[in-house]
Amino acid sequence: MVIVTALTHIGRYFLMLARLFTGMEKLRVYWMAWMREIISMGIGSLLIVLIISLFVGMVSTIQTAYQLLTAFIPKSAIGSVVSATAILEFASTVTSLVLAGKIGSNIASELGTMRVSEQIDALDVMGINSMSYLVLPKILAALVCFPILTIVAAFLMHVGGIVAGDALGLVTPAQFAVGARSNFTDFQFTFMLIKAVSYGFIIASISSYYGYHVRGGALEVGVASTNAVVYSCITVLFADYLLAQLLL
Amino acid sequence: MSIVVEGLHKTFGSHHVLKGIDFAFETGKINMIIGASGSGKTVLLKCMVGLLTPEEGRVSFDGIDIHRLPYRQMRELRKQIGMLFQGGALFDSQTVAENVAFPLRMFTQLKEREIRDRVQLSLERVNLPKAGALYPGEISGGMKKRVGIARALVLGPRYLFCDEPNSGLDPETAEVIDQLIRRLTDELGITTVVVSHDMKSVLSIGDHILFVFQGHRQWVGTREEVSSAEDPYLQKFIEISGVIDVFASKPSGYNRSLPTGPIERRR
Repeated sequence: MVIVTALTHIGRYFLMLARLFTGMEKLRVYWMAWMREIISMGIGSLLIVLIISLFVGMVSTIQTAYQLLTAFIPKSAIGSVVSATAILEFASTVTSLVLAGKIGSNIASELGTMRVSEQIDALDVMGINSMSYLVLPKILAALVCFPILTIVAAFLMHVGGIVAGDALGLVTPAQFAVGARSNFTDFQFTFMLIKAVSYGFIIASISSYYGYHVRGGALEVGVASTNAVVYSCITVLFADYLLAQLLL
Repeated sequence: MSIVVEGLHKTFGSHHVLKGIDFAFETGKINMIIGASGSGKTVLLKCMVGLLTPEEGRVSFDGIDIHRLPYRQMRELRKQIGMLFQGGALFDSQTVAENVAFPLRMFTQLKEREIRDRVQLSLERVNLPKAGALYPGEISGGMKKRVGIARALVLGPRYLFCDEPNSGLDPETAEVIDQLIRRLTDELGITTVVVSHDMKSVLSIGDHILFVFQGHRQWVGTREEVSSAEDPYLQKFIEISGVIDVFASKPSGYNRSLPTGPIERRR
């Protein structure tokens, strides 16, 4: 029974993705909606990304120093480890898990409320492809916002690491920079962006799926919102493992 | 163009909601689908506008089965349909004017000035000339319904479908909505289908009435015939609805005793 339910969800999810591109509206309509979503997702998430990234950077530096600082390991190793971890894992994955909670629940509850208040039915009766009109701009906005937010997060993690290292006398900014540069390759940056784009798609599409298919009332909107966050996080972690194994 | 429903069956899991309903809706009139809660009238309405797909039977607009229409043709047909939802279904993030302008922006090439004029005309038609800048959260339930009607009619459709237009409204506001539907149906020459369980509304504006009971077509007739209907289920429905006194005190001409006339005068 669980397998049947899971397969039903997966089938409906892919049908949703297929329907996004059938019977599309005028491009101008998507452009306006896309812009609104980018502002809502991108600007609206900057503060939480800023706070979390700074603290992740600071904590990473302290913990790395705690584990590595011996007479035989240069202090620049802290910068090397913190930088690589931030770019390869934390900036994309931690940021996406946080954004799954913020953006994912927002998308699911917005679409769910539109569903239970018959706003989606109103669009359908007008002859508008409600799925494409409502979901596609959100997914496209996530594909733009997630990489940008991830780059901002990676930068701020470095800033946090440098500030904490310097303030606590663990590593100077110069030593941190030397370490960070020593292991950096272009591919690490590309890998981070690939992950960010993938996570953006996963979170926006799964959350839209749960929100769009709500049946019932306010209680079900809450359940859909929770499901959107839970399944987005699980899928992001699964994709994290898959991408690491395939690309590294 | 006429709307005909033939042998309509709709189930949800094991629950058989519509059990072979047949009905021909009269063009240019107010057709009312009445029945108790859970009788299947809203499901019937949603099948008629294509929001639900029946397992059996057909819904035809001028002889064309809408459930067999290709997507593009269905989309064109839907431009001929306006629908008022139970809660208004206005878009929360848009002002009243933006809500009414929405179909014009989606389906026409009108310039902004023309859209503004059309929106203003539509809002004046439903007696809300100054509500354009307000958001749905700032207006009353009755105003939401009127904005919903304005949005439904802004493209000039041939059909207006209303799902429980009076639900959640006080009697006076409910009557305002009833008379608005009556006036617009007559003025615009549209075919209107109203789902309701409000017998006052039925007696006030209904031209052609379909009584649905447990998913069946139980009784069909006109407003004038309701009082003399011998169907026991309909009689009981009328009795429970509380308008039985209307029949008892004024067995003939009961509909004339209900307030009618211009909306402005009663407000």
